[in-house]
Amino acid sequence: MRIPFTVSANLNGAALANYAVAQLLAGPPLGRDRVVLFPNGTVARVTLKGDTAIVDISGSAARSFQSGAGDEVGMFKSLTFTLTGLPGIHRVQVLVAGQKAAALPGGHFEIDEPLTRDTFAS
Amino acid sequence: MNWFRRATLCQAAILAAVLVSVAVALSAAVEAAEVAPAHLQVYVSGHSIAFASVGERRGQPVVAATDPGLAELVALIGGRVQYEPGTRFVVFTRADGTLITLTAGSNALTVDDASTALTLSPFTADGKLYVPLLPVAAALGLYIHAFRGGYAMAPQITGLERYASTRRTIVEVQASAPLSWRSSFAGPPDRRMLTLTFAGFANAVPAGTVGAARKTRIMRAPGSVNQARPGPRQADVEGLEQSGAPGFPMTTLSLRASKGWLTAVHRISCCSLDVVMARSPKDLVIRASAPSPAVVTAVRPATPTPPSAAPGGSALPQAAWPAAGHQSVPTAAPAPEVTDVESPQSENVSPGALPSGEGPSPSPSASPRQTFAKITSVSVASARGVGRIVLSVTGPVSFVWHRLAEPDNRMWIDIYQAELVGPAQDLTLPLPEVRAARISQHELVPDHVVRVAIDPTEPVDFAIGPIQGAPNELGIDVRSSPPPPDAPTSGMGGLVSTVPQTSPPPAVVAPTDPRLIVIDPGHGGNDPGAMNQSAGLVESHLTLSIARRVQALLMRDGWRVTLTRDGDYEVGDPNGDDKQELQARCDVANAAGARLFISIHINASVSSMPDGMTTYYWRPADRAFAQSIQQALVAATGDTDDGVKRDNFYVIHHTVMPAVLVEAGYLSNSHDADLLEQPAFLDRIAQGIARGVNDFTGGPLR
Repeated sequence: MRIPFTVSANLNGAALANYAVAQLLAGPPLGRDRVVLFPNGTVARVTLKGDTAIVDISGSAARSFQSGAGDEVGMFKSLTFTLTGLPGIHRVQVLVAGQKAAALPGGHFEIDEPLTRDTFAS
Repeated sequence: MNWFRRATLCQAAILAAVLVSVAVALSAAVEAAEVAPAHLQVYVSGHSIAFASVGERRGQPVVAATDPGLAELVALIGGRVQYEPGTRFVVFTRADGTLITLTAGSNALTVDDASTALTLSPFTADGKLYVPLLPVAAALGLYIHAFRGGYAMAPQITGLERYASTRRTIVEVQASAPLSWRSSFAGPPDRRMLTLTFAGFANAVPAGTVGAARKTRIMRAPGSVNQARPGPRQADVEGLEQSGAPGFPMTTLSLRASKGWLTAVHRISCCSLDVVMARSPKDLVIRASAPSPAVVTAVRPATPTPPSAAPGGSALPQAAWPAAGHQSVPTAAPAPEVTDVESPQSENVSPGALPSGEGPSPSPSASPRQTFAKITSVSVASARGVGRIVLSVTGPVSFVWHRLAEPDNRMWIDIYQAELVGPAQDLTLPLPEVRAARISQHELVPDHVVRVAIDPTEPVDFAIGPIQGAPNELGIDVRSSPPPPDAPTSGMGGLVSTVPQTSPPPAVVAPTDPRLIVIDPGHGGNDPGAMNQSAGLVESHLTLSIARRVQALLMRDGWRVTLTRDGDYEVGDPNGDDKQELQARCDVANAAGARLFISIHINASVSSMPDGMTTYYWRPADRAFAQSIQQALVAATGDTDDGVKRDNFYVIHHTVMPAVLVEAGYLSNSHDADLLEQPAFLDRIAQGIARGVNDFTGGPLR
């Protein structure tokens, strides 16, 4: 389930994208249903190139992913929906420690191609 | 692989001859242009191959890896070529699963794990990767006959082995391409000769293999004493001969069978068959030792008649029905897959007079590269006294039908070059006279055959043909009335003009081993996957335990099963990256031409709340497979049904056959973890997965 929440920030462009992702990694600031899918200690740095947000993941998530398929899809779905909700961003290219990767270490979800909302359309 | 070495040596001689003749003709001019244009005629089993970019370099014919003619050549012998422009590797897969690899700039030609040296390495010119044609053809197991201006090639009979016990003789024939054959009898009753004719196949078996000093291996027939004997003199190989034109060779295997001896021909795999000769019908049966045989036709030296030359229906045996329990005792008749029916009891495994028969013979035009018509939906309609089965097809198909006489009354319709989308289905015809009907993918190799089998309780009339006003539909009408007394018992027809459907069929490659399932136990080695430390559970251990259980169950059902790993190790290079590891798992299934791929995982979440079972698929066409697995898995385990989901996981994207990824319970949920600690629960998961496979496929092809 996707639970949208709203934060206010007087930012735009890459700064806004970095802020949104930092907020995603921190998790929603409320409730007992709060679940943070990205492992604690995950760092994500966002740069923009055209309509693509390039997200370089490092820290915990780039070492070894220990959850299953559901969480793995959830991580990238939340990341993609967060970033493509910002103006001008339609695609998200994930890098792991600065490199393109087929999947997270220990993971299976394909991330070598840019992700879009359509990637998650069942 | 001895035959391959023979083929290569033989090839080397031809190659040398070609080198001399062409080198003289072209002199030094070849080196100036990288690829000298050449007009080259190439025939494979009589089919002319149209190459788009063929040329010569250093006197050798070379062809671009992307040339559709090369793909056509390979497809004609049941193989395929894989090459991504921009990469350095060209991989050929032979029909028997052997991989042939060439690398740009390297003189190594690798066949499975063995390498031989090329005199001309693959090279790039005009932005294309060129490979030397003749060494590739030789590695593909083709016999090559050079003539002025081109080459005639043909697949070969590559091996002939004889196994004998006191009670039976088995002769195994191996070939470099999917085998088709015709059998016939001749000679006086006491010295009957059975001949198998392989049209379009050359003979690579050296003289002497079939002679006085035959290779003999003693096999224990069921119930025989464990004592080596030379084998029965009453049944033996007489000879193996090549005849025909060099461009379209023909190989004839002659076998001698004394009066009263029975003979059966079993297809063992796409490219091999066993001829079994025995006195007792029960010794004709090849029992389920790997690989399990599928009986195609059986013959008994009885009344000789000329071999049937007609293609299709008239060559199919008019079957006598198998004895009850044919699931475990393969018999001779092409049994329609109507299950749970009462078969007439028969003492004789072998059908009555079947004087000659024909192996499943792909017609010369049936190139494996052609796209098969898909049967995208099956529905049943009825009017008063008539039940109609309607099949929606995406392209032209031909069919052959047969009907049995009273008291059996069963009928079946075989639709050729067709693929059933989705699992086999039981159909309910609203007629009191029809107790069962079923549609299934009856055969994938060498022909794509979808079979509709109908089991009436009394004689019924029926008609089959296109439905007026619906060009994409084939109808089968069954009437509650007996057929006219002179009604034919077999026939054929077709659906010729169809309107192309807008949605293209999924790009799933036909399996080269339709009885093979590859199971991928997730994680392993340096990647343990998810863990539940307090329960002492590790995902990679659980997935392997479940995979081994699934393997045992499916093998019991008659499937062949390969695990991507059968221990706690990485499938790929332990030092490789994630992609390399995941691709290695896909490669196992892709290279083997498996029919299905199942990756087994155990779920986990950062939350302890989620529980239950999920089956993932990626290609929309795989949804039905995922649903079959999920449904059976939930039914077998009673665990929470989290449904089927569509997401892009590497191993279900980069395998080319129907593929699913199963997440069987959550290690992070205490209830699921308690269950996963119990071996009996792992058994139930395995039973669910195996059941799902059989539900989806209708069981292994027989």
